[in-house]
Amino acid sequence: MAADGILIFQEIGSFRKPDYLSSSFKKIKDQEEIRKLKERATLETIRLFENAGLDNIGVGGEMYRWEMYEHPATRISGIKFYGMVRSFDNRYYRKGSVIAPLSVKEHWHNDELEFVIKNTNKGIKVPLTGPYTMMDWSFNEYFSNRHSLALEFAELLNSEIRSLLDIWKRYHPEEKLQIQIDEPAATTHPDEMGIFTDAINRAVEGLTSVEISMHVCYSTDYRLLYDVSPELKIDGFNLEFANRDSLSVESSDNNRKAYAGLRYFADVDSEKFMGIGVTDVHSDIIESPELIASRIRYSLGIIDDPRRLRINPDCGLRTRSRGVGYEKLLNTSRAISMVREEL
Amino acid sequence: MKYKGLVFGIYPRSETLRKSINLWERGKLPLDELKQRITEEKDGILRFLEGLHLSHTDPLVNWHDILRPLALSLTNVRLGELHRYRETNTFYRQPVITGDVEYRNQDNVEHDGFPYFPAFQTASSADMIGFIPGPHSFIAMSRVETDVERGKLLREVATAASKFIEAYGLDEVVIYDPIPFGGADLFYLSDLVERFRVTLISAGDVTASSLRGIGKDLHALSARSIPAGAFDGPVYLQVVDSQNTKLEDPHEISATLDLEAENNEWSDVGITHTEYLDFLPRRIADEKVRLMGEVLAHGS
Repeated sequence: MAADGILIFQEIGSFRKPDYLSSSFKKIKDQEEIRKLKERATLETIRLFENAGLDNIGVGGEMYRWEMYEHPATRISGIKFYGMVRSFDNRYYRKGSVIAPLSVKEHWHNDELEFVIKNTNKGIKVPLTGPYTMMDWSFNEYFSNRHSLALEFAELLNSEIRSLLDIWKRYHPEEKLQIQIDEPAATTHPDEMGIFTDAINRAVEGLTSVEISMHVCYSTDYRLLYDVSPELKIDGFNLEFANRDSLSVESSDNNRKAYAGLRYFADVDSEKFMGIGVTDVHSDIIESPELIASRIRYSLGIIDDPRRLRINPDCGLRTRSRGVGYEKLLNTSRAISMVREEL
Repeated sequence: MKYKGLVFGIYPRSETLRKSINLWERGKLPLDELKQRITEEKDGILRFLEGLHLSHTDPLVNWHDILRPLALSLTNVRLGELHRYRETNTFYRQPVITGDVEYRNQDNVEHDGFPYFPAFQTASSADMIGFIPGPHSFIAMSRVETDVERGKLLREVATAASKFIEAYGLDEVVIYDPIPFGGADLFYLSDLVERFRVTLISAGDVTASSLRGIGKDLHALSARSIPAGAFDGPVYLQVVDSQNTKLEDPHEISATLDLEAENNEWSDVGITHTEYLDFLPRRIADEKVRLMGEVLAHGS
């Protein structure tokens, strides 16, 4: 962990799976065989993250998961799959239909968390797909409205966090469990921010010994999120910025325009931490330590408490090769060291 | 009362076609074989729709999104980043408009090699209806990087769309506007509605003022709501939900049709769906279309 929690360097979630796992993930039916492959890939990715200098290795790149919606949805009773629907071009995903009240039929991430706990001394953060996104990405055949369905998913998420907490407490009774709620759909329906807020607050209701962060990416308007920030019962955000920023090292409002949006956040919420994305996960360009350091310094000019500023890639690095992903993380680590020395 | 029905826009690909395209993308299926499979898929869908006595556009299973073939057929338009389609979890390649647009011959279009063309399979069906996105939506869903005046740009896109349809020898077309145009004047469609039998479908409301210049030449109209007396021609009610797998009750649809026809004094009324059907799994789209056929078969 970073000294005094200053500029904590964290992963966001997914990392490119090794070929031996991605090529067999859905083909191998033998549960024992696929479990061994997931464990092998998780171990390799944890070591890669540790070597890159991450303070928090997440869950080792989500090697246990194929897709953020389908993974939990297939473990919930009350959801039926009729087939694939298009995401874009010829890319499709299995979109479930909610046809009955929902209940957990199999825990979503318990096996993954337990394996990761046993295999690292670094910080751990468990990403979970949020209730609003689960609702928005499902067909609703049963509930009277989207609000009711979002709250139903929130109930399930709350129970899943409690289940993860039970495992965590066995190994780390004195430490908080870090949960990251992933909500890519958060701001896609501007008139539903109330539903979003209610669902998040229900998902975390009554939880103690848990630090809750939220990851949202590629929003067209983060101010929608910042506006409800004071009402959200979470500890912080992990967002993307780098893809919207210039590649110029020189620090100015114009060059750092993506991070300038933090001022709005700082104005509306002075409590929550902010994890800033400093590397673009949709580009093979390896950002230099100097560029990343410039982004961090600029952000520190807005959120001046380095304990409230965390550093991460924009999103999961599964979009890049493992080699490129590693290089991006390594340069981020170098940049953080540079800035920490200046503080 | 007997009704009619219309199925428009991109129909969901079958698993077989989806996997065929995956194979082609990985270099494991020749382009000619893929084209053949697309033709067969379209033929199968057309036989299915015609067996149910539904009017239909081309099934468009070779369209990756509703803008792409038209975007590729325009000068000063390039394809940009993926962009969210309305408030859905489906994405389209956003056109970037950089200047005055004109129609260009599709033989000269440079793209990723996927067989977007022919956009319509005209030989398969005698009563094939073409499909284009409304110029208003095309521009609203694009990134405009030109200072060409908006009214001029609307006319240019409409003219190019007209040539796009004309290239296939079609005389009937559905113009679909997923982005509501509210009360805006649809003057730019006047040439299109004079030259073709146009069914205008809007995901939003229409007003009498927006139809003022084109209403008399418009063949048919469908919108979320149509003010009484705003349009005299055939009307399609959007009674089948394209964004939910829950199947509608055909009896309820018939009752809704009867009520709406009586309340609005519509003599020529039909049914269609809310969005194009590509937001549904193929199996459910087939079920919903079958259900539409059932309403037509039994009337009320």
